[in-house]
Amino acid sequence: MVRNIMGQYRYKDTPIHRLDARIKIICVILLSIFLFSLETMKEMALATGFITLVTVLARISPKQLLRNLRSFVFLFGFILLMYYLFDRQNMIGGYVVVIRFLLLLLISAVLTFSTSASELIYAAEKLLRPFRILRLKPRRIAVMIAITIRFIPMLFKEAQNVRDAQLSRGASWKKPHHIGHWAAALLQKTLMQACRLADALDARNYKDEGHTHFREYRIKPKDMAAGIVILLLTVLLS
Amino acid sequence: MIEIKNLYFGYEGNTILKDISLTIKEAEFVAIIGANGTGKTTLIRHLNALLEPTAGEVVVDGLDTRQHPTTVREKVGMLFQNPEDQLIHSIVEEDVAFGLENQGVPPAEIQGRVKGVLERLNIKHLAKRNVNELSFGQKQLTALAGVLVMRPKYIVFDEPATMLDPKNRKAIMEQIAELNRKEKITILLVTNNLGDIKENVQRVILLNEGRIFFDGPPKQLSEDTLKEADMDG
Repeated sequence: MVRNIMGQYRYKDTPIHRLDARIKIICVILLSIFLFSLETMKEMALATGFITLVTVLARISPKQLLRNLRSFVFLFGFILLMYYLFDRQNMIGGYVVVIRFLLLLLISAVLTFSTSASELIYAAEKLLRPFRILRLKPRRIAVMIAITIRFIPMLFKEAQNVRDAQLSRGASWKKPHHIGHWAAALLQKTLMQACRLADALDARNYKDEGHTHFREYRIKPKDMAAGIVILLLTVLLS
Repeated sequence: MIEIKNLYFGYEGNTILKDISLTIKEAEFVAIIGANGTGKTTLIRHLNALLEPTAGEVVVDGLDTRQHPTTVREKVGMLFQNPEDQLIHSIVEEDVAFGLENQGVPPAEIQGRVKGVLERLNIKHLAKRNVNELSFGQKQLTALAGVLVMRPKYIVFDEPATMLDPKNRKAIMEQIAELNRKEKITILLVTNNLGDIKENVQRVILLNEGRIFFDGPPKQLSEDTLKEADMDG
């Protein structure tokens, strides 16, 4: 799941792709608040129209979007079933909840489809700067995100290797204690990898403060304009 | 100059390094060899201040590694055995830039230096690639680029060619030799392959049971000495 989300960015020359990642993250937060304030089907239709327009502008293939949403079909079905069983008179409420989730997923997909991992990491670090007052280390969080993105595919590969090694020596995936051994071996390997990674960070002089960036991204007037539009939309329609 | 004075290192009651004293001069090409478990990797990790001596001291250009780890790491680059352990970012050029970002180098200079080092190692075409999609040899060159871009005076290589096929092994060993020959970078190469010390290496340090067993030019290293140090395989 995480692997798919992180790997789906493809550069396209669209206004959404060109928007500064910080503005995109702020817009996603504002739109999420906006979505939770909606209650009627009419308001939902309006929000759906707007988010669909953004999705079209970002030129995201409907096929890819559907593939993303597929994993949530069970959740949507479960919500509707609960409404049907316990609050049948208010089925509209169930549909509103499902549409709200769908739209939330759509706007998050627009963010991950149109923003590279490095832009996201940079934006996360910059947006978290005010939290330094609470002794939070934005650089540390950004590097943790970078490492997670880098190592998740390796973790999947390692899990497969350990599984293959076990199966080649007669282990059965149906026996719980063999799964336990697999999990223990994977955990051990992951912790050892983490130790080596900590050494690599030290060897390359990692520090939380006083660093620079490979690329500096600047917020342009068009980024500000997009942010203001979303802000106004949120305030006026909430 | 790197000076190791009466270095001892141990943990949990085991002494790994025993009374190691060495001086590494500038522009030297030194190979550190020894059977598995003799303390080669432990020794070189002291040079990059990743480990602190239990007793004795390690001094790099007059700086004690215990007191000046950050400055020491700017001077001594380190290439790990497995590049998977060394690459932090997913995109090649971003990973190469990581050390310079930590040093606070301005973005324009970082971009220029990253471009330059990728060109020099003939991996410019990999700049935008995801490191998880690279071959092992390409990952090793990316890790080397990440070290070289910091312009270290000394580079420590921990068995850099162990996991490589013969072609990539030759390529990386040639790169290492060139760094010493053309740029006068001091090289400390940990290896288990005696073939690696036949060319270019000026001095061999053979470790056995945590002590220096032999220290001299490769041609003085006899079969008998190797045999005594369990390196006759």
